[in-house]
Amino acid sequence: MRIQFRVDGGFAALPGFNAPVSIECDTLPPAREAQLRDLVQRADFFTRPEAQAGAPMPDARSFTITVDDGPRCRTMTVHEPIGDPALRDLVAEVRGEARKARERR
Amino acid sequence: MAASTLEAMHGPVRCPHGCSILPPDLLRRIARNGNRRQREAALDTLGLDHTLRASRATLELLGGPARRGLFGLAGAIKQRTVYDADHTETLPGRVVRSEGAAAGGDVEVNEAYDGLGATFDFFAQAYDRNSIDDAGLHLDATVHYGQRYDNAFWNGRQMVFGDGDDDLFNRFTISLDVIGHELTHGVTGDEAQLVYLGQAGALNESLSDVFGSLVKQYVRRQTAEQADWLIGEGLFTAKVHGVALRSMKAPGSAFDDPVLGRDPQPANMSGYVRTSADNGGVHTNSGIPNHAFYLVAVALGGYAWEKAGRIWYDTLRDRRLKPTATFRQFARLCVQNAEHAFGAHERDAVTAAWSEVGVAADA
Ligand SMILES: [Zn+2]
Repeated sequence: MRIQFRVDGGFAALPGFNAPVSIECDTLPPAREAQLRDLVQRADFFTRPEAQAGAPMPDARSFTITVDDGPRCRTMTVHEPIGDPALRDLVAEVRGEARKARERR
Repeated sequence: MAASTLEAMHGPVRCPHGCSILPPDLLRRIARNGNRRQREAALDTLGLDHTLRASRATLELLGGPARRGLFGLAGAIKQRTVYDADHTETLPGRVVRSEGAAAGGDVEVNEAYDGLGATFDFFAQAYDRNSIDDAGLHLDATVHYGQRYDNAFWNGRQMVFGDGDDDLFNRFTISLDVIGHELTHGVTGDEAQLVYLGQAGALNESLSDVFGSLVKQYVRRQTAEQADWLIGEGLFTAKVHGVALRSMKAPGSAFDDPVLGRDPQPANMSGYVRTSADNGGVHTNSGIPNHAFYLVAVALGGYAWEKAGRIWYDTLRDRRLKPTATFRQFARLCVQNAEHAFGAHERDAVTAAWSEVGVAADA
């Protein structure tokens, strides 16, 4: 499974820091990969309907996540504030992993 | 939720189809006379938008009080409420400090309370504006929002502040101009409704930086020369190589860090960034109007809120300012408002400043 992640906007919009990051989940410790898979599943990532984007909220960020898992691949953009707890957990964990991936580069 | 709230207050009313309704005239009366929560519930039920501007327009249509512009300084009364989200993302959270209550031991709560007060006082005293909507809107802010939350935003009704991420960002209440910035989004949403995209979005962002910075200058009683013109000073932790998030005096110079990258703001149209990110680079291209404001403030001297700030405030409220305004359209209105409020010297200073950042403002 591969996850791509990008942050957009925010009060401290930082284009350099927010550049897309790719997380190769196969290279993570198995427990961590399983945890991410679980979060993807619990958020119904591949099946949930796309949330309607309203007018942009000043300084609120959006997070674009692509999950590529063999035959299944989906890109979704999630806008702050994130109402759904499962989606919020997924974004939080993927952000953390993206930060580590960025530091490894 | 909205209808059930109203039912709880007035009892159910059944329509012939069996669904529960309230007669529209009753809803209108609630919308007009109820407290804020009842009013919002009523407007929801009527299917009406109750964002600030829309609800005021609606209330005026419904025959509500036309409060705008009638208050005078003595009538501007602060009503601040600070909430604690307890590290959840549920708004608004629990009330931790109401207007007039003494300071407690929570730094974020006190900074938010004081920052709301400073911003309210600034707009009231410098521009005779009665709160965000110029109609005495209560000021609500939530602190301790989310976990390791490195952002602050205005959700259309209230401010939301995260505690930072314990790594690169400190708490977002640390800098008074950040609080002023977020509240000014409320003012812009109420007045010009500049769309948050492209040049209009960058103007929206810039206006928040301009008045955020002026709040800080007003509290410190600093002249244009003395001010630091930094946005978000103190927001970065000691790990980051940078003094602040943005600099109106020298856009592009606020930070240069191995992890965060370099401050991307241009100070001139020649550096305008075309991008689909960040709603068309609204936090990047705001450097151009930010710098134009700085140049006017320094050229005119003294306290920046007195002349430069007044010109920008008049332009923000100018009915000719369209929600999709470009830099050039905004700049032209600035020039006209400078001449109207002050005279030829100020008009020429504004024209020259916009010209220096690459925006032709002469007609
Ligand atoms: Zn903003």
